[in-house]
Amino acid sequence: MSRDEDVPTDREADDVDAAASWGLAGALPRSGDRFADAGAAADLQTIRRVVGGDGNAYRALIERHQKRVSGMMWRFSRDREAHEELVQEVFVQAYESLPNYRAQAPFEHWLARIATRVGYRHWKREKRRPETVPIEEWRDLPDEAVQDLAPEEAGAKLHALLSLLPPRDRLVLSLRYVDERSVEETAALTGWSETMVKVQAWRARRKLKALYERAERGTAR
Amino acid sequence: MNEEQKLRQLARVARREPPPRVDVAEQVMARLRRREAQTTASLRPLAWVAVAGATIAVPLAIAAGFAWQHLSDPLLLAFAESGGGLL
Repeated sequence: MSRDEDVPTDREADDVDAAASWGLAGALPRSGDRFADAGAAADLQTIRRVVGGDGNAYRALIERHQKRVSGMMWRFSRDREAHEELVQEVFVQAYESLPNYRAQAPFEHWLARIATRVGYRHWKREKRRPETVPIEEWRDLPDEAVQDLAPEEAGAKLHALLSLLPPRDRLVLSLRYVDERSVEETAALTGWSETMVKVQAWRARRKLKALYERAERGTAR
Repeated sequence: MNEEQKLRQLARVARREPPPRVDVAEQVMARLRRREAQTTASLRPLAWVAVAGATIAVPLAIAAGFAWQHLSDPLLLAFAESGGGLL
């Protein structure tokens, strides 16, 4: 049992508007990272130039970080056009917030928070899909067959499955299970407290379980 | 295997998927330039209002300064006209 499974009650968590509460200027702590590495130093130098008025220098930051941001945004949309749009949006928002960057953490961590916010807002705008097909596909998938799936296929199934959940649940499960982020990292990315992350993850798992069981009851009938 | 274990397993396989390659630098820079141009364009009418306001305000201020220098107390004026007869 993972340590966030023992959330004591099913009480409603405070309904924090995550997107609004995510400050962009803070740090995202992550153990094992060295802020003083060459990449981070180069980022800092470029940021100083951009904030100092050399807007064209921002191109270097985009080129340095777009692969990582693309990976993050692929979890939020598997539609290539929408995905590219999201990656662009992350960099546009980062540019606008750049004067607020305090350099307390590497730029890529700060960017990850913006990317999470952009992706979450995308999910909030997006209409949820009808819930029957993916949950049944998932339920009918033999356990051993999961290992044999092509990564692209597994990614698509996972995306479809998580899209059955409301954005907050989807976000917490994506960060915790798909990206394998710790509770602390998830809290930093979402702006929620660690307790909130645990409660939200517990509720999301419970909703997923309910969907799964409902699909099973559907076939039993 | 329960739904959580299945989710974890699916996620483990999905993590091996490489994300699509994108090169958004040009588009982002173009969007930023457009935004900057829009901001400048939206400020232009305000700048004209400010110039027009200043054009009117400066002569008015000069005229007001002159008027102030030539203003005198109306009571003193009445007193002077009556030749001090009020006392």
